[in-house]
Parts: sequence; structure tokens; C-alpha cells
Amino acid sequence: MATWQVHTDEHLVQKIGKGHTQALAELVRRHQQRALHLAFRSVGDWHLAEDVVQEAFLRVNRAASKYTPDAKFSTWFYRIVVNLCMDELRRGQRHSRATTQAMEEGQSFVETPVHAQEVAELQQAVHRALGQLNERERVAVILHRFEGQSHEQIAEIMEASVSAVESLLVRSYRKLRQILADFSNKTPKKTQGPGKSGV
Amino acid sequence: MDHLTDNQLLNMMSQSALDDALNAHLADCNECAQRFQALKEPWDVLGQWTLDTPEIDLTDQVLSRVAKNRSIYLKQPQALIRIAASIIIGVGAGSWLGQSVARPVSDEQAAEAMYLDVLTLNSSTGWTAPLLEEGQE
Ligand SMILES: [Zn+2]
Repeated sequence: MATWQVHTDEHLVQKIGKGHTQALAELVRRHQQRALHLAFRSVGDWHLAEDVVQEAFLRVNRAASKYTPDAKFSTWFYRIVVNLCMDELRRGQRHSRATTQAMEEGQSFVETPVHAQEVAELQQAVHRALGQLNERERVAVILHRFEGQSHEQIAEIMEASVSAVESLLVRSYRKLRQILADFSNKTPKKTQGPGKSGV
Repeated sequence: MDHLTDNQLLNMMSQSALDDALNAHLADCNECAQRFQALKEPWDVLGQWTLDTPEIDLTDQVLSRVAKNRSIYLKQPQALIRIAASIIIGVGAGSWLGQSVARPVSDEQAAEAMYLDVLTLNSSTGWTAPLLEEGQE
């Protein structure tokens, strides 16, 4: 039995291309969490985020036999996830549903009614703010703020120049500042995932 | 020293290691400090939104979808026949369009005209490429 944990991502993709399904399982285990966070923040819906991430892994599986490791796997994979998210955002009109769901899940996690209200307000504000950005602005901010990607990495993922990404980010943060002005002094909050029952 | 650029401000905001000269400028220049603050405020608010998804594991779902796709397209050759027929129609339409409008029309354009673009490899959905690949296995 192969010990897939010791392989690099790139090596795992090559193994997937040769039909090793357990190599795909190892890649899923490694990358699903970050991919789900990225997708949820982009599309605003856990179930949709799961669909996006599953589809991204299926595409990895399909394309694995043609994969050449000249780009890092994570860059390639993020690009697939981001493109699927942007397709979903273009399909659009999910913001109201997303906001409602995120608020409900936020409230299920909190301990006191006061805390619940603060979480709900913040969730609503962040969703509303991100929803007012176009899909490229939104994804760029999410990669930058939450995924800790450098300007160069974002450029590679979004297939844009570094200077274009930097302009995009500056413009996006300025827009967000106007929208989020009232929430500058709030305390840290957490949103819980759907868990088994919500999947 | 010139004022800091937007990109310098952006880098200062997101990187923990800060350049001393830039930092010194920021401390002395009111204009740059305000521009920095304009980026930093939304950065801080967004940072309050953390997620926790401990129970989600998609491994089984992904693997079962891989297995299902493989079996569907190996056990149902009619699915492949339908796709092949659609492509033949699309290509035929492409050459017909090429003659009738007297200018070059690509297969993608022809397919798009007949709403068959989802079947092309360059489709944003990319649905058909994997289907065809699965079937060829
Ligand atoms: Zn200055």
C-alpha cells in the first residue's frame, strides 16, 4: 500500500494521471479545507461551495494525465476553484440566499444573544460589501486578505499582470472602506461551517 | 522622499516585514498616513470574519463521483454517441455557416450559434472535454 502522505502535490497529480485514485484522495484531504473557505467566501453558500470544490477536484482528476508540473499544483488548483467561483457569481443572484444562510450559521455558533447580533451584523455587512464588488474584485480581495496570497500569486491564479492585480486590490479596498465604515471597531467573530447535518 | 505609491501602501498593509524608510515616511507624512488608513480599515474589518469547518470531508464524495462518472460513460455508450452526433452537427453547421456568411467562422463560433458551445473544449463550463476523456479510457 502506497504511503501517499510523503508525496508532493505535483507527484500526486502525476499518480492520479496513471489511475491511482488514492492519490486523489490524499490531494482532497490536503486541500479541501482551504478550497472550501475560498469558495464559501466567494459564493456565500456552503452547499454551493462544496459543489464547487468537488467539481474542482473532478477537473483535477480529468486533467491529471495531461498535467505538466511547470506550475505549482496549488496555483493551478486555486485557478480552477476561482474560475468555478466566478462562473457561479456570474450566474448570480445568490446574495440574498447566501447572506441569510451565513447569518443563520453564525448565530448557531454564538453563546449569547448580544454576541449573536454582532455576528449577524458583521456577516451581513461583509456579505453586502463583498457583494457590491464585481467578481474579479471580490476574488482578488479574498485571495489577498483571507488566503494570504502575494500579489504575484494572485496574478498567476487570476491570469492577470501583477500591476493589474494591485490596481484591482487598491480599488476594491477603497470601495470596501466606504461600505464597511461602521464596522471598523468591532471585536473578532467566527462563522461555523454546516457540519455533517448541513451537508 | 516622494509620497508612497498605492502598491507600497498595499504591501505595507499585508506584509509583516516592513521597510524602515517607508515606515518612517508613513510616520511623518499625514497624506500617506490617511491613504494607508483608507486601505487598513477595510482590511481589519474583513479580518474579523473567520471560518471554522471542522466536519467537512469531501473525500468519499469526490471518489464516488469519479467512480460514477467512469462507470456511466463506460457502461452507456449511447451517451458518447449523443455527444459525437452533436459534434458532427456542430461541425456541419460550422461549414454551412462558413459558406453562407462568406467569412471564416470557427467551430467554436458555429457551436455557440447553435448553443452547442458547452460541448467545445474552450467552453467556460468545460463539461464535454472530461466526458469525452472519460469515455476514451
Ligand atoms: Zn507621503
